[in-house]
Amino acid sequence: MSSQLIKITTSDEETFKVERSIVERSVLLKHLLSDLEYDETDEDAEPIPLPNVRASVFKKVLEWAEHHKNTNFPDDEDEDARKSAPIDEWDREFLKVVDQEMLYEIILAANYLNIRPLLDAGCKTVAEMIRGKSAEEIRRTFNIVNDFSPEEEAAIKRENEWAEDR
Amino acid sequence: MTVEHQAKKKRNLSKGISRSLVSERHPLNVKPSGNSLVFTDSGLNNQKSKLLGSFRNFNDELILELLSFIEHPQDLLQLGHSSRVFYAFTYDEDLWRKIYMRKSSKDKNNKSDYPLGINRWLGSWRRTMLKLPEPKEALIQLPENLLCSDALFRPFQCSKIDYSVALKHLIEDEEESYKLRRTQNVKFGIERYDEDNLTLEIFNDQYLQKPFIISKKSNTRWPEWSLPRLLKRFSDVKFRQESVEWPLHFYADYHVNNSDESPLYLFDCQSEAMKKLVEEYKVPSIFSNDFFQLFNQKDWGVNCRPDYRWIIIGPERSGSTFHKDPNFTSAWNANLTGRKLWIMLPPNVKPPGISTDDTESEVTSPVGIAEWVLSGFYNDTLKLTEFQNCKIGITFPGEVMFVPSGWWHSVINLEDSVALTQNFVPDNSLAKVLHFLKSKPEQISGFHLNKFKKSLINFINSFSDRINEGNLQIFESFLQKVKTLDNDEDIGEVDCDKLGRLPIFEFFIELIKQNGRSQELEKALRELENIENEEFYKAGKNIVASKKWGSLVEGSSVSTFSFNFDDDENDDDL
Repeated sequence: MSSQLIKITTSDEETFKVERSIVERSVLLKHLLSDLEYDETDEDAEPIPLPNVRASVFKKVLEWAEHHKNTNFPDDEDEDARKSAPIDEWDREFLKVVDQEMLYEIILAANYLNIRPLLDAGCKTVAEMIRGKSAEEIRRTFNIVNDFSPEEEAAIKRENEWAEDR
Repeated sequence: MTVEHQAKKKRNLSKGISRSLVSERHPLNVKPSGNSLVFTDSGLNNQKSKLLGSFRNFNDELILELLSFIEHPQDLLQLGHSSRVFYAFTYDEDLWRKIYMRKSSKDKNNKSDYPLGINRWLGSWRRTMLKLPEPKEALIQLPENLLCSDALFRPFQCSKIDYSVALKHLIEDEEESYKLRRTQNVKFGIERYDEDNLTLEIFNDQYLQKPFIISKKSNTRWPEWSLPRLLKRFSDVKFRQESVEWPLHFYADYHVNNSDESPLYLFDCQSEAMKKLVEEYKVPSIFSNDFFQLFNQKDWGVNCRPDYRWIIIGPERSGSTFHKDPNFTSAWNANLTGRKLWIMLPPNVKPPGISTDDTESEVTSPVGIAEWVLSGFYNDTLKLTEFQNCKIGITFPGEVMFVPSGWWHSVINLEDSVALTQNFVPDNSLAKVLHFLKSKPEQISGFHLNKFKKSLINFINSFSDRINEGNLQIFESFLQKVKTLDNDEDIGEVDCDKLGRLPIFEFFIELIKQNGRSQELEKALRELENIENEEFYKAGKNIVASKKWGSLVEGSSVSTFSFNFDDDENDDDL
């Protein structure tokens, strides 16, 4: 008998069939499966709804999880080490080729599904996008609207002058 | 009824802290999340979305999480200059503090006297890292209720907690107890005694198992180590504050002016200053009997005692979250300036708001002290006092708190304070310490491999013919193992699994014996046996961890585990 799969339905009503080990990369789903005592050998098992994730995003998350099927991620214990570790090369490429909207949606999904290593990779990618940019460049990159008054602009400029590489 | 009595009647110490303490305005006008329920406005939401740009769908916690990955102050500054909402997010002190800590921990080769070469504290982590004087800060304001965020508001609120208001009744009551030198709080107060009235016998017989305060005897009983006085003597000397080392004058500036939710706590045992300070006070005589002194026996070349005496300096609001002292030691804490609030629970009562694993090897406090108080855990603890013998009290300058071994305690500085503390092993807790060393070797802390090794070798050379044969074998096989691993210079790198544990329990026993205290040792070992039997019985009743208890009562302590190689870090402790 072939291995049994878990059914998951995304917000746009697409249903995926996924191996348990892949699903369990998500701490949220892992706990959900155990709380529900989900039995994938039961043909009639109801699919698990994911109201916060679209199919196109979930596909990317699964692609990531599939790639990292055998990766052993270190424990969460040392926050500093985790945060300052460089991005995994594969993850960097993976997140580089998606468009920006998709990147933010992947981060949101990783956050919602509680997939720590994917969330970290996403955050590091955004931190790199901010790196070395001026405020104006940051606005353009992230579609941020500036509504400072002239007085506030002047105050910002003053902060900048004082803080510049001193 | 006297006026005094009436006043006391009105005080209800068990009522706890009101949840409706008024908060100051946030410096940028961030509001608590609750406001967004009252002031919903599509215009505001729209504006906020524009100011957040691509991150409009991220919740506040996720944005802060994202920002915590930014490694450079300039990047955080520029992001903050992109819009007023991001100005507010990047104003969060914790972000800047973490960048400072992360950068300075990587900056060990820095030759400057100051981490990262930053030589002035400017009142906040943000300004200090940017070298931005306070008047130059832009302080971009938010329109009313544009940003309603507990993630940003809560740390600010916690940093503004005023304990003199929050704990008004308790403080008034304790002031009275302090003046009368006798606790007025019959429900959960801590007893006060005069140092002269407490003999070692009374201490050992009656008071070893519960906290008490030695009340102020005279103004000259303790050295006058106020922060200004210490500054005069040690301004440029580096002290340790948690994970950083700062010259005292830098810490003093931080001390008077910071907005941290949990202010850095100076907790120092190895500074140049401390070497002088340890000569300037006299240990209360009832606390002078200390079995751990045996780990420092100059005559025998034994010198491996874990650090045990500290000077503690902390601003108002600083303190320590719930913990037990390391290695099941007891402690005394002399309060030199300021007032400290003590919340103390017996070893078997788990503190509210704290999580531990089964063996208590991991203790985590999910929230800082102020939030612990504000979010109701203080009140929960008060409820425990009714049936669990929990103690809450305040020590005033000149008073000394005794912390019995194994007691949970959390300490909050109600005022800027300087204190002196020492860990020790009094007579009657010897059995419990032995039990700890034997049954929880993986939790032993503060011993350094190299010092321990040298001490053990010197000890064997002096006493080989008098050491118990079994123990001698254990020592020699340990030293053999160390030898094979010895090619590595850095003790932190030694493979702990291969090394197994340090034979500290056995060494301690031999030290006590050779010190001519066999009688006390025998008594303690008998007690130890009782404790073990009791635990075995309890374990059998609960049908848990039978293997572990089995090996324990067989007296074998050969299970493998790793050892905490503390290099120069010590378990924080009060």
